[in-house]
Amino acid sequence: MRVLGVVTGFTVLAACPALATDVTFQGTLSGVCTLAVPTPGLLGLNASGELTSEPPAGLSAIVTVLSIGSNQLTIDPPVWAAATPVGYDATGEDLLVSYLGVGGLSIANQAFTDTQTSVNINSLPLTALTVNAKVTNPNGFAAGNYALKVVVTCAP
Amino acid sequence: MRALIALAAWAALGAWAGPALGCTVGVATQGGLGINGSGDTLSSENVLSGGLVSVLTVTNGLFDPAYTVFVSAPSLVPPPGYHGTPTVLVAYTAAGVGVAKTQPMTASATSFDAPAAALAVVLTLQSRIVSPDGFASGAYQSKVTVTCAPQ
Repeated sequence: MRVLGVVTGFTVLAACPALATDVTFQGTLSGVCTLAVPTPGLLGLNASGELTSEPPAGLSAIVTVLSIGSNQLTIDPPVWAAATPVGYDATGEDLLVSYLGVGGLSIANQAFTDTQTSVNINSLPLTALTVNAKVTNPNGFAAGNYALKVVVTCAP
Repeated sequence: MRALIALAAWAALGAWAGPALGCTVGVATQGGLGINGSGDTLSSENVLSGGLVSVLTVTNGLFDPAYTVFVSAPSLVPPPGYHGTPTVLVAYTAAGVGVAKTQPMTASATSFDAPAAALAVVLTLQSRIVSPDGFASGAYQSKVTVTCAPQ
């Protein structure tokens, strides 16, 4: 009988609810890289006769990068985004791109080049990359509209 | 025999009157963390990317005294590849008879008092992790511990 009494008491104690509980929040992030262009660039003719987005002749383009995990940022040299004006002589032209990152993108710092370049990046919050495009041409530029395109790619 | 009857009576009384230790903390629903558009904040507030609040209830027996609810400072378990310097925050609202507490985001432990009449207090908790350097890929878990004690 004494044994039975002890067992009953143990059962009641074990049934007492806990006075503490853990509250957990969970989230899983997959590797991803996103790009946006909040500020397209503008081209102007500088004092050296170059068509450029560099201020004060033009306006630099801003590309924002958000990276989760390790990714590679690739910047292609510029290409004409539209037909050049009639009378423009493309002989000897050179299409160039440069870029400069800030914060976690400060490793992305490239002087004007006409070749494709890449930068390995790690996790980054939304970060700005300033991109400039420039065209040099010993023949000069005919009057009219010019449009350049720089392709920026971000991939694992 | 007398001892057995006494124990049985005590057990029956305990079952009827609720926990002999006063207030109890119920099981919390699982919260979710979602990332914001800037990639520097994981939070239960970012509902469009998976954020979800956690809800739990603290109960008190009919004849139990007033009590205090304690919410610990939040902690974070990040994935292996994460090397940032995060700020881990928790916020909550608590509602019940005689209880209307709103705790803004904090990294510290907090508490609030509840009167004996607050037989059920519902806590709705939010979690926020701010990482100025962004986040590595992988699973993140933030945690707080909620306890209560009679006054």
